Amino acid sequence: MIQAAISGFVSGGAYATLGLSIVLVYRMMGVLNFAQAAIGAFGAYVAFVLFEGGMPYTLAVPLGIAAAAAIGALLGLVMSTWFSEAGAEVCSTVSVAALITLLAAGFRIFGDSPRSVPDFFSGASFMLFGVVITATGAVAIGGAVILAFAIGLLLRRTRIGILLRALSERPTTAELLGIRARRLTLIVWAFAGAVSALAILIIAPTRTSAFLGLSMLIVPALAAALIGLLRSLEAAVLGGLGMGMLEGVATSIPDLAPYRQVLPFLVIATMLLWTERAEVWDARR
Amino acid sequence: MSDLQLDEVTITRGGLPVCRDIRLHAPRGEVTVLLGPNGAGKTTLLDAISGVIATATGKITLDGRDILGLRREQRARLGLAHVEQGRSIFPGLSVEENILAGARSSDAVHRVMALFPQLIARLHTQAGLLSGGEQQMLVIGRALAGKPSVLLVDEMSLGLAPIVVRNVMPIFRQLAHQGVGILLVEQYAALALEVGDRAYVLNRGEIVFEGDCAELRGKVDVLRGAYLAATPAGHK
Ligand SMILES: Nc1ncnc2c1ncn2[C@@H]1O[C@H](COP(=O)(O)OP(=O)(O)OP(=O)(O)O)[C@@H](O)[C@H]1O
Ligand SMILES: [Mg+2]
Repeated sequence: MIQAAISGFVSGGAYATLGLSIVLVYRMMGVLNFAQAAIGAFGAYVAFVLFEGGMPYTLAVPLGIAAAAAIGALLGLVMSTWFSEAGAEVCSTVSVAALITLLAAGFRIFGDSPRSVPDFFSGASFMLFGVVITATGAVAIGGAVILAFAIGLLLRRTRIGILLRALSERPTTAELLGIRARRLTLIVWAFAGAVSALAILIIAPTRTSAFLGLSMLIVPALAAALIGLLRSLEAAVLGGLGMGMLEGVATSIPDLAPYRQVLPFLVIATMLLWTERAEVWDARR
Repeated sequence: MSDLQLDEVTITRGGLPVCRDIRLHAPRGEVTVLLGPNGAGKTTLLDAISGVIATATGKITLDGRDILGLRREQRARLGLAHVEQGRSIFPGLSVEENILAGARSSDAVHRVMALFPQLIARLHTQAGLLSGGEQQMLVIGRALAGKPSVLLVDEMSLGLAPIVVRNVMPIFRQLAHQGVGILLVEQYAALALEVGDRAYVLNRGEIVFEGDCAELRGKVDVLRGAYLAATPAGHK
């Protein structure tokens, strides 16, 4: 059982990381970005294709991450140019349009067949308290926790963090103070894109990694983000990890395994119902 | 030339011209007062100057440079500061962070505290938890943290105790003395005319009076006449 839960570390870390980028974009930009995983998947696929073309993986990965950052920034540019005065609903709808566009583009460029994806840590593992932990799992979890911590620290303690929070609370007032809204916006979107690519790169070797499937990891990632009510970085990480581990357990039980994909939907539905009931949603607006 | 100058500025909102053919001059080193009844278009005019509204036509120059085509943050970086109507603090940020968000030098917090010592004890308090008067001080202090050359202030006195207003007004005088140009929008004329140099009265989107504050202070009837012109026909 414990071993099964531990086997969910990789997915958990990836969900957590994707969840973090969703929370970051939502909190800072007010957009629920349904295309977040697809942006990451696009970047990851760029890395895969370059790798297949003979480029060393250590070079292909940074290029893939850069590609995801660029796509993220592009979406941010679209949002800030044409939808800066639009509400959260409109922006989130635009992100769905971006998701569809990315899926279509990904299908045309990369095809539908899964890629052979190298496992960066080539299956290395170690024993801790009698259970086997893969290196990838440890990195996924550790990375997610460190990332959450670093983002939190950046937002609270640095000048750019102050400017970002000011911008998210009152965009117009922030601009009137001379805060370079556009530049900050692009930085956040690009950062979220890069982080998503990392998450997808780490989870891809454990899945049949077709572009569509990787893009749909938005579902568990959204569930993770919702556990933190789209605001809490810490809760998003815990949510992602929890979801990965639950998934690991579900996979190990033959009767449950076929239904494990339903899990994130259950979490999302539960969270939405709970927020409605608790009127947390209302209070936040 | 160091000042804010408006020439034939017309501003439309919702398809209708809200301000028409505005000429206004707010030189540095002076407090220029803009008076007018509710709905006259005072806020609209300030919004157009700072770029909150992008539908102005005509010419708006800051230190001789046309700023009408510039984005909000570009105008701000040229030295324009706008204290919006209503208390536009960042509620989730502390008092200190609010000031830092507008600061362009490291001594900003210090300077603001020297101006508003009441805020010292609240430096690490969330700005949303301050009283209305403290919030208004913070908003003005935050605008000054950016060392503006021209400062627009919209209805500073709204909702403030007269005593607080009396404390803040001299600060504008002092700033003007340091070379800042100030455009002060007020609905309640008396106090503003006390600190101001020149006054404009805006009425249904048009400048209906322009003159020295001292002159206007003595002519209550001129002021009343200007205001009355704004009331719908039949009330005259
Ligand atoms: N978003 C808007 N769309 C269309 N018309 C508007 C809008 N906002 C304000 N107006 C109109 O513009 C006119 C001027 O409004 P404005 O807020 O500039 O007046 P004001 O002089 O600042 O009044 P107050 O003293 O009440 O603050 C009003 O007649 C108002 O109805
Ligand atoms: Mg107004």
